[in-house]
Amino acid sequence: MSGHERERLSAYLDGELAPAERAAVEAHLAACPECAGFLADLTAADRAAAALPAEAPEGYFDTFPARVRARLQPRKAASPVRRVPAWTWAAAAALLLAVITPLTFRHARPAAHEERPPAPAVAKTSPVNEESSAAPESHLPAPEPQANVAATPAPPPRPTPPFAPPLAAPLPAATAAPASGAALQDKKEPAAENAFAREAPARAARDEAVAPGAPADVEAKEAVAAGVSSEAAGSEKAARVAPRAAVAAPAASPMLSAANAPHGATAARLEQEEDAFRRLDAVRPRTAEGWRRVREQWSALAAAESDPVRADEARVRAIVAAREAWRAGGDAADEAAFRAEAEGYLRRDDARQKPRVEGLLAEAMARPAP
Amino acid sequence: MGHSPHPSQAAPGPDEPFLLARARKGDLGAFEEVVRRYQRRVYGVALRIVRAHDVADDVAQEAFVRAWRSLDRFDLSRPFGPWICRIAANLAVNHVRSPRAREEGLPDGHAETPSADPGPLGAILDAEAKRVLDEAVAGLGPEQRAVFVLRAVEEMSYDEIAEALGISPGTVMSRLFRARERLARALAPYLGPAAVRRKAGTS
Repeated sequence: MSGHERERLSAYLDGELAPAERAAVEAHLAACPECAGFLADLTAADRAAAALPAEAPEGYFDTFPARVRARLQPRKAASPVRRVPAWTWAAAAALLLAVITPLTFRHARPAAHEERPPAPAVAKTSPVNEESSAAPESHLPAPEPQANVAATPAPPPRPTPPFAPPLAAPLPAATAAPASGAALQDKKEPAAENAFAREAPARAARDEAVAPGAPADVEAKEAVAAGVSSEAAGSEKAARVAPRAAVAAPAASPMLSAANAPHGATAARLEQEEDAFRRLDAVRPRTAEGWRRVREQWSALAAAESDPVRADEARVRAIVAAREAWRAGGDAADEAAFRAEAEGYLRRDDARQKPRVEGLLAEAMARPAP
Repeated sequence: MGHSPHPSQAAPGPDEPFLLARARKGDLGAFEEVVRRYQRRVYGVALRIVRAHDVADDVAQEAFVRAWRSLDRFDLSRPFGPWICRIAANLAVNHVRSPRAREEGLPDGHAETPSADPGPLGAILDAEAKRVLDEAVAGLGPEQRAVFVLRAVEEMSYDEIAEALGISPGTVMSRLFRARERLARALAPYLGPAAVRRKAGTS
């Protein structure tokens, strides 16, 4: 067989020949031991070369995903909320402020009184707030009302939304505006950048605390996103006190759905939960204590989710956060919590991601925390 | 043909479409999990082509960053693995072809030394054969090597390889043949009857 015909053997090996050619090659192979031997050698070379190790240095894959993540710009898929023009958000933000401010003042006293007992615990455990000195910076007039907005059965400016979440709509409504600011910046809409530009410096400062992995030259939108995430952590207050509140719907939810007019309340709520999810996702504490808080927030979020798929993901995130707490601190109690969380998940009938969680457990077995 | 799937090609979890849909919505954590699942495979493709850890690291990271940016264009009903591997292979070849890479002589750098663990190859080849084979792979041009890796390791079709590397299927076929012929020649003393004779002689 000539070199050219031998080339056909290689293609034959790959099943890439047309039927007629294949038949011709097979006929030849049956009669020619030399070519049959050559085909066997090609096959062996393939297998042997494919089996050569391509190994990375020890521990390389432990940190690779986080390194990739640190390079990613937050991106947002096209979704109804984000197609709203920039000015709508600016207007909504202004309205929110106008509505919330009086509400907050009106209810500040009774709410503060009511929540005195849990308050110290909140202060002690709030993860990102603790790590970032800028925590109280807020769109609300006073430090405390951030919790009050969510916790107080405030008579909203409009009827209570029909989709009032049972627990935390985990974020105070007031943070919705900057979140959309980030979304708009993603789309490079200058109006939105201007609308939120004055908030950027404080956020940039918090960026340091929230996203340690982010490179120094992150663009402004990452700083904004990180700022949003620290507010997500701040909203932990809301998440904690919310179960005790009769109505936990953020006062401003109607505003959101108003901005989202063509879509039903359910869509608005799902979108809101998605935002809450994303903001919690952006929280990357550096300490074990921070990760413990994040874990609790994921659990709270999972319990409050109306979308079972997202609830499932939130449960997995709680497990991941537990593992991060253990990795960050090397504490045996954190290891136990991680295992308990993972094993609890694997026992659930509705768990959708058992392979992933089994993988996390196996990984932990193979490589104990530092 | 008759290949046992490479260990790096473990079946994607049943939850993969879900993770990718989440990632497409902007969920960094979901994408991080996707990265975790595919990192070994992507790094493997990159390392086999560029043959230097630092470069493979760059290529693998860049492949995921680009995939993230292009997720909107990715058809969620299709498997993610071939797609990300195509991106990585393309980046790897471009990197090896770049003038800077040639100056640094990266393509000739050697991959990690084969591990002491015999693994699946141990049954077929001894350490010396592995070294010879590794040298033969290093001796291939980057384009040949890329085609070979995508076929022999990733088991892509000629059309997929052609698309990944921006060449014609006919070029894929000829490069692949030349690569295989060269490797088979290097391995000949360790294969078939020659290997039996050789082993009998040495033991």
